[in-house]
Amino acid sequence: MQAIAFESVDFSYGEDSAFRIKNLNFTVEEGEFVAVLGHNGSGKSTLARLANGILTPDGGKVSAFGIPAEGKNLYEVRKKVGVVFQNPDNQTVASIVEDDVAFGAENVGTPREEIGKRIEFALKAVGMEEYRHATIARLSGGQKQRIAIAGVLALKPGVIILDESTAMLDPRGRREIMEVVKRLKEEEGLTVVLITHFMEEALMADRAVVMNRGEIVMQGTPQEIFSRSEDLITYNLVLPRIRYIEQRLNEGGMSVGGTLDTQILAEEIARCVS
Amino acid sequence: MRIVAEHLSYTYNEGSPFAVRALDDVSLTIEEGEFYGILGHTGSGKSTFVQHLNGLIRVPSSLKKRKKKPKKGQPVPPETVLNVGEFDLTKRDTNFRALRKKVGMVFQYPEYQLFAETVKEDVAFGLKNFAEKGEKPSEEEIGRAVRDALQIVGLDYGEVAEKSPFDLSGGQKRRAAIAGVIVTKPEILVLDEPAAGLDPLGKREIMELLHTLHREWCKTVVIVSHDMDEISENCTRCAVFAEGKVVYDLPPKELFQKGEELTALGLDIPLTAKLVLALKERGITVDCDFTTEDFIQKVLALKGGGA
Repeated sequence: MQAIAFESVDFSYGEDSAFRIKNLNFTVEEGEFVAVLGHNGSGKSTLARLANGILTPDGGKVSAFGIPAEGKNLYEVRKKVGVVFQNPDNQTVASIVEDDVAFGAENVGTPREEIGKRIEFALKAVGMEEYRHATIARLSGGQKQRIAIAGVLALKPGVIILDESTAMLDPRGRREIMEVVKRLKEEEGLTVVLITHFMEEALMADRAVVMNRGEIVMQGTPQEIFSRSEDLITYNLVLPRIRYIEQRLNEGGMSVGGTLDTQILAEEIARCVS
Repeated sequence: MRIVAEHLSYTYNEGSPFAVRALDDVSLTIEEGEFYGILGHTGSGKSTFVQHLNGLIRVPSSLKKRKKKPKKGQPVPPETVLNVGEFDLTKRDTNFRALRKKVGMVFQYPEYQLFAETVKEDVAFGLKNFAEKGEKPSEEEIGRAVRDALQIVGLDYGEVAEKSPFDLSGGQKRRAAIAGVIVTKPEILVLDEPAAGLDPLGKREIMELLHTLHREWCKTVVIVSHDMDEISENCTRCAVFAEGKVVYDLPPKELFQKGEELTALGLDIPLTAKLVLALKERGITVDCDFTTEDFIQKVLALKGGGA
């Protein structure tokens, strides 16, 4: 089953906007973990917003789990495709954690007893069960983002899209979120689309996609993508620092790398110099 | 201008149930001309510290309240010192307006603070408001200062001056916001997470801009950052804050040799330091200053020596 499918999708933000998506084809299989990379303005967020029907395409078809994202189906699609955005402070609607987590589920008419169970499940999944009655304003950024994820999980979505959800967090908050995502994928079998500027985060994905000017220009495993350094630079991306170091060492006559793993790189350097 | 802090403490919401001790007896000196990095977790006190530097948070003795006399029998707390250049920030009669002109402060996500109708007006705002009574700068002077400020941050005056700041791209907005701070020619420029939220290329451009400013515009640059790679690549010296105290105050080259200690504090270390540690475990010593460039050179030299 395809969790998300774009079939020759066209989209623009109006006549005089320079940005447009033309004939875009993109699929995410159920259970897959896909990272989406690209510089600012490359169309990553537009992709997320098209996927759950916040934006509607000018042409072509977007569907989630076989349901086309149009007309009356939109509500069904939004239940299936949950999005977590960038700014933790813009995504809370209630002042108490459990009310906030319940908000989405309440709005789609989930029965009352069920909501209680969903809150419990969602908070446990993000490791915030102790904070059920806490005041959101007193949480850290990483905790707020975990609450935002819990709110999406309470809808029991089939796929979760993280649109630069770690961009405004400190390293500890970022780690918290990435651990939650990894666990959800492994334990709940959730499909994940991770939109990010942090190349290191993309390394966790099964597949990475690079966008440029509304087009998908590269696809493959993260290792494959990051080995094509010249292409990445063309698309205004920078290499992960480890990849850059590997490359420079290779230019200097060593033969190391490809794995993008610190320990393995150290091992290989040790082999080369001894 | 040299920054000297001794025995600086600060408690938020003092005397309430929400009291938080943010700074605990901090002593730190930042010499003129440094590109100084301040590291630490959220809540470690680093923002509280930098907000003291231009008097956004005031040392209690500089406010009107009478000095509290220590109770009998209790030890007299050591006297707080906070000097920024010739300004003594513990005194009530310090000219804080003049201080703020000399110490520019760029907050996190400064582009959220843009407000005027045109970029020109936005950048000129600080300049107009810092002017002392009776010596208002002429339109011509303002025009020139704004032009210079926009030019150094890498924006084309002709192209952006009459535009609304909200029509600029993300990276341009941040540059315009920085221009609005440096337009008064501060001697010390303090930036809280200057590269946060930008894409990798944008990050690199902002760091390059800060180096340009450090060379040509502001004598001292202080950045607060979570990004260890950013610190190791750019700073001449850095302080690590943890729970309101300064735990280290060292050049990056020495600081990141303490990889294990930093990890124990729950802090990240730069990739180069991780590699150096991993190589050390394998019996190989790389004596580098933890910039990527130097690391690569030293490793290649090792190979040359071994072959």
